Amino acid sequence: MSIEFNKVSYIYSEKTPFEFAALHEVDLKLSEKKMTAIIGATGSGKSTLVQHLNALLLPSGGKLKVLDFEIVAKQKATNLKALRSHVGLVFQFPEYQLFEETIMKDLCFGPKNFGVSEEEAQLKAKKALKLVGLDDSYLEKSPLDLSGGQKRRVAIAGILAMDPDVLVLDEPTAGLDPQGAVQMMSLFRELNQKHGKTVLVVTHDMEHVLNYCDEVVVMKKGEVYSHTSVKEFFQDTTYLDELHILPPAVVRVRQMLNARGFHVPADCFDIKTLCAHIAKEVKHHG
Amino acid sequence: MKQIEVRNLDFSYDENTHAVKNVSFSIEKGSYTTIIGHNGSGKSTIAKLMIGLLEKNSGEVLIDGMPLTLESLQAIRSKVGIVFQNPDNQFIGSTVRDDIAFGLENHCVDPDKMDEIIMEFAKKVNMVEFLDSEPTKLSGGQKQRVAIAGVLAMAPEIMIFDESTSMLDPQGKNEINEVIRELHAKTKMTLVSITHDIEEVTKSDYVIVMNNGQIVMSGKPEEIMLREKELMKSNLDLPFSLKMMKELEKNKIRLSKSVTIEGLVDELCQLNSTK
Repeated sequence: MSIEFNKVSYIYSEKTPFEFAALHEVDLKLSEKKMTAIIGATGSGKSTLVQHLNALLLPSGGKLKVLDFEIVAKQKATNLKALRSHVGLVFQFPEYQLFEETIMKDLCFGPKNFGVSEEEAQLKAKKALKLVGLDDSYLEKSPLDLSGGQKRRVAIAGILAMDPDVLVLDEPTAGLDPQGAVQMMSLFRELNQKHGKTVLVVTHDMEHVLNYCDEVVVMKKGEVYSHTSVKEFFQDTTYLDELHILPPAVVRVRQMLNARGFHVPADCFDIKTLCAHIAKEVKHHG
Repeated sequence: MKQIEVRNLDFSYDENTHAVKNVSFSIEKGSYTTIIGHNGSGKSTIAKLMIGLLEKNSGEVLIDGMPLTLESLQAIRSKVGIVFQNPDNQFIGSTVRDDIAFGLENHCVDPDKMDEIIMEFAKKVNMVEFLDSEPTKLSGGQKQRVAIAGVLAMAPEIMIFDESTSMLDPQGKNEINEVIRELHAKTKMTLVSITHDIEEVTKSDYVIVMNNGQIVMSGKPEEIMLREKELMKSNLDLPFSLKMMKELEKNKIRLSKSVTIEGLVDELCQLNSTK
């Protein structure tokens, strides 16, 4: 079981004056139970790509396999509802999709839609809310009375309540304060490591890619440009320059220091090792 | 000269959410001010109060000495441009071109000059090839570029950005920030940016830190960024250079305090060569 794109193309508004090809014959195989970052410039096709995973967009060409499901272009897709119960997709600004009177009702909406009983849905709702760090006292509140960051958590809990095997997040931390973003990314990492979920995160934040993900897929103009392990990705800075990617701060400092006579090794990826190394070099020099 | 003055501003969404509590500050004409604070700290609410999108409980907002009231609302809004975080909420035109034109039409810009202005700003934000696209079909970051172009094209005296580059890739964010800084230098407009980006804060003239509807600190970034305990208490992050400095101290290397990575690297290189 895995996720496999096979020459997948996607064209928006096909056969209209607004026709726009967003994906060109994408081949991509994603490993299960890994946390993978999808990065790339705005408009490179990241969101289009991930919206295929729960068949929200159907390919204009090619085919893809998600878990046990196969979706082939121009063929009537079946069993989409089952697929969607296995793949949870969290959009950009998911808080705009909250609509129920109470948080409890909002969280139960998804599970009930997939045929779960009222009681079970409520249990799932409580569990999901706890996962995102909010206690039961929120259940009877209106989702519309929360702050932006809290709304975001509730919206994500709504997807977690469906207990999907694959969790797809499109820029989940955009607009969150720094500590809120860290809590959110840690939650996804925990879901990945402790609960065995396959996690895909579309992000622009290289610090998040470095600190939380296993693999990284680079999208460029509707194509997969590269797919490597995170460590491999941040070692070769010439490649990052070529992609116009501003590396994470640790890598940037390493780059700047090495250009001016330091010898910090390329596999130094955290602030502690970096500083210990700098201290050694400076003292050695003295 | 003070261009924006906020005096004892107070606002509640309802009896449970007292979003802005007796806030006062002023912003100099032509300056670049950043406002930071955790989600729900009241930053966006203040921006909305400043242009009269929300009605205050009490207090005063003055723009160029003119109090914001129902009568002065139109005059004040013609001076102020604002870009919100989610651009979907502010698209009107059916194409990118129409959308940028809409603001200009409202400002009674000469129709003969309009095409030229639209082209100029579409170029600045790198969206020329999308002028005839539907705004709703663009990616999140592209939408933000269009929203920014639309407001900048109106050449407001005061420009407020509310997390308006949050969906751009880092390279795109740098590009857009560069465009904004260039325009700021050229036109002397007053720039207010609500942001979570600590590195952006280090580039501003003045920073206001909000927590729970109140201002907890304000001043020059190089002073504020050193107040670690208060920053952490407000759910904010330290600039990377200061995190490194603390870590280097554990390794018995003491540096003078620098809020930028460049400053820190310079100092380390000096240490490495002179010792």
